[in-house]
Amino acid sequence: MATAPQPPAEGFKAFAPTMDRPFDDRRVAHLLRRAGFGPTPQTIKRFSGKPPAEAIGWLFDYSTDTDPLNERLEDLQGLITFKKIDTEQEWCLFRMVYSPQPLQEKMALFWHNHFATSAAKVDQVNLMHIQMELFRKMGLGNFRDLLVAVSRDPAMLVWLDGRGSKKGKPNENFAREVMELFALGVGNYTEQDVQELSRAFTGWNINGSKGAFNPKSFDETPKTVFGKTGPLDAEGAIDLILSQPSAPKHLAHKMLKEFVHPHPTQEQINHYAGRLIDTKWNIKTTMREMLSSEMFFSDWAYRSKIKSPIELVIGATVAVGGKANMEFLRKTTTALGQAILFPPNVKGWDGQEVWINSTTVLMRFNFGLSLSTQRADEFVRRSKIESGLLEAKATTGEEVVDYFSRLLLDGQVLAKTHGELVDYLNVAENGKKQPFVLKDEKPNDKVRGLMHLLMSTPEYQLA
Amino acid sequence: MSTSRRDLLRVGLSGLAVVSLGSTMPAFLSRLAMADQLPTTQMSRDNILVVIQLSGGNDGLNTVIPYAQADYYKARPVIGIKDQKLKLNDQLMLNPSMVAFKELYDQGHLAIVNGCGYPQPSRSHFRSMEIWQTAAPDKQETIGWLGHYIDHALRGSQSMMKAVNIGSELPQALVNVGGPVPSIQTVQDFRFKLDNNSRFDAKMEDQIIRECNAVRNESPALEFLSRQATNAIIETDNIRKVSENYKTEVNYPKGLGEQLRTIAQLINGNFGTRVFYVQTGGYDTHSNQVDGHGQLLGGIGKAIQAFHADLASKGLNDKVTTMCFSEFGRRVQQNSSNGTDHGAAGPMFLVGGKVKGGLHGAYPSLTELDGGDLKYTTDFRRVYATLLDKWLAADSNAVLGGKFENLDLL
Repeated sequence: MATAPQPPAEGFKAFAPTMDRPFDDRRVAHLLRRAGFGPTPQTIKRFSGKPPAEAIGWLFDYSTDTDPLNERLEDLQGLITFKKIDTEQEWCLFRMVYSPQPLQEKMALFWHNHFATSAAKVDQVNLMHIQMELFRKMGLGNFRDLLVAVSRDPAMLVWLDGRGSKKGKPNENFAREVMELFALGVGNYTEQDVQELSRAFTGWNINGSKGAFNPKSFDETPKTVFGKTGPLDAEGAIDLILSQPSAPKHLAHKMLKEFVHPHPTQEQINHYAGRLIDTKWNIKTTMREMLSSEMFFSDWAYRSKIKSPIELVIGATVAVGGKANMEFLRKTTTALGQAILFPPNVKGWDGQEVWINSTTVLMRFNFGLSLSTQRADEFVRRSKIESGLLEAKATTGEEVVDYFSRLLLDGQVLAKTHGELVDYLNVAENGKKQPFVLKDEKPNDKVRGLMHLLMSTPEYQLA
Repeated sequence: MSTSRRDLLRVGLSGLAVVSLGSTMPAFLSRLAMADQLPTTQMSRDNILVVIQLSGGNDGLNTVIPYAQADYYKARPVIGIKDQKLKLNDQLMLNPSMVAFKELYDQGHLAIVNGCGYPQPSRSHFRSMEIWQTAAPDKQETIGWLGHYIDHALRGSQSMMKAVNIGSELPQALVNVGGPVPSIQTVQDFRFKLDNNSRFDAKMEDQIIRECNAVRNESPALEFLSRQATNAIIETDNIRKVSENYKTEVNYPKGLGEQLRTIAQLINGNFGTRVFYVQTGGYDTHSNQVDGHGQLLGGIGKAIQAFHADLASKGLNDKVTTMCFSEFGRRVQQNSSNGTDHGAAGPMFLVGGKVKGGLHGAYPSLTELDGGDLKYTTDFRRVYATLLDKWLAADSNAVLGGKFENLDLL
């Protein structure tokens, strides 16, 4: 049986680098992968060897007052119209590649998966856009406020049938999922709670593209939920749900699973559940502590997760640079099982091992090939890989392998594989031995082949 | 969720021994070769089961419709189906969009088992689906019912593809101890590509990819990934060799039809696969359900009909039985959005040349309800048991962990 490193003792303390455990390429890359979409040559250079607080501050202290991508979008008004869902999906992926605030986009993706709403049913592009903007705006805000906002978000009102749920004829869909998936977890409520709670969420409908409350269709009669009886409206219901002991644990578990390790310990869940309560559901403070901790930077957490298709595809795109075609990214993430704005059901993507099967593992390798060769339908402008190598003075077989192993695999490659890759470069196309030397900026088949091979390793699939 | 599917997959893998680094022989082959084989019956050993999962909770009442009962129309003044063109008898009819199903029924190739369910039904999609996929209503089970079948009854099989999932996510039903079940979307995409700039480089690249992905044991995640990759590479070699010969005159509809076409292609390749699994969604009809639900039902009927026509043209119709199920039926009473909320019992379907066509299982009462939902009349595990005992030459008692009386379906 494979043995994995164990979670560290005193893991909740802030990580303090030491000689043995420096804040080096490997830990910078780990942080950037989890709290964003992975490192670039520039971000590695900027944060490696510096105090971790610099990278953490850069990731967390973003403003939501103005959208950093507004100007770019403004210039394209009239050219890009958000009438088709494909465009909205590509816009989401574009933001992940180009936003200077990667954690904002990562949080939006996290909440999109948590409150998993699909355009397959919502069928109105602007409503999906509004919901994603909500997640960008409130992604590191207060969870209670976020839950209230989601309960009256128009896309959610369509998705879980809150619209038209009215006195005398409540629809149970939202009431069930808010407890089962969004806040408590199965087993923490009864069927009667679902039926009673559904009456508390009556009265909401969509007016234009906003959630609107109509007191006339609200059921104002008393409801009995968790053994308590009262006139309960939507906000009151959410407060009551969040007062359940399972609520902070449910969210802490989800955050730990997504950002730290697929199998968090009970102690870890309890600790961060406590922090959610202490901070009155402040997501930013809790997340910041979590991602600054010894636990987060431990060997136990490193490479413990399998990259989601979006993490894989955006991460590789960001690392190699150039101008990828967003349609190519959308189609690849879809084929790999993660079509943004189309989660498979309200539970979201199961993730981790479920991403991987015989078909998707081969498709991941094939994506690595596309990203290395960069044909016209995949890249609008090829990335300047060879000139990057020349600039970094990486021209021999050994140097080129080191350069890419650092960029793509944090420098953590098995010695055996490393040797095979150097051999691959040092063999000419006719099969004869011939030391590799990169001479010019022209796309080089061996260099591209090497990138493909590194992206076809099992390590590269790990986050 | 207390236990997610990813945990279950991990548990499913943890029982495996690790083979040496460099080896491409999947561990389960060597491990299972040592296990005792269960005695099998005289029955033909190459029968195939195709499972179609209708995800979301199919509204059974608007599928097999009790048109003669006033209570049906009383509970469903807007969404009750009035068009009676597909009557089965003086009580029941099929949804008028199910023309293909009716043709299969009239040919005696469609069995409808009414009122399928289990005690104390869960109205959660995820828990109820888990129950149907593990056949364990009263406990949290990690291994799927077909996973148990693979582990118990197919131990001696040397096939790399004893079961195949068509689609992107492995259902829990196929989670087993023995080894990964491949998930294949299409046969064409099932290969790894190389840059063909230089034949020599391509050969080296092929070799390095195979070596890098030989089974690793530094961590559970690496072990899992390398095992999946190693198996995929072996499977792709096999599949490419054989399935390119497949041809068909039948026009399959898009969606489920294309998935069933892939199954026909793999059956034709004769890889020793006994179980195929495919999922199709859209059945969570909480609002304005009549048109959309009809289209879904019409669509799956056409796809299944095309599949069995293709099989029949190759003389394979008697070798394949297709089963459809959904995690629950829906509330008897329509809701305020002209849809239906989560309910309980619902019908199952079996299609195939050897199926005893017709109506099976008692239709549930529309008046004696359980919290507004239909009470089940047939435990769904009886259908599983029948398929295991009479079709797959397995011992249902061992696979399901209990005795369930067979139905007269096969």
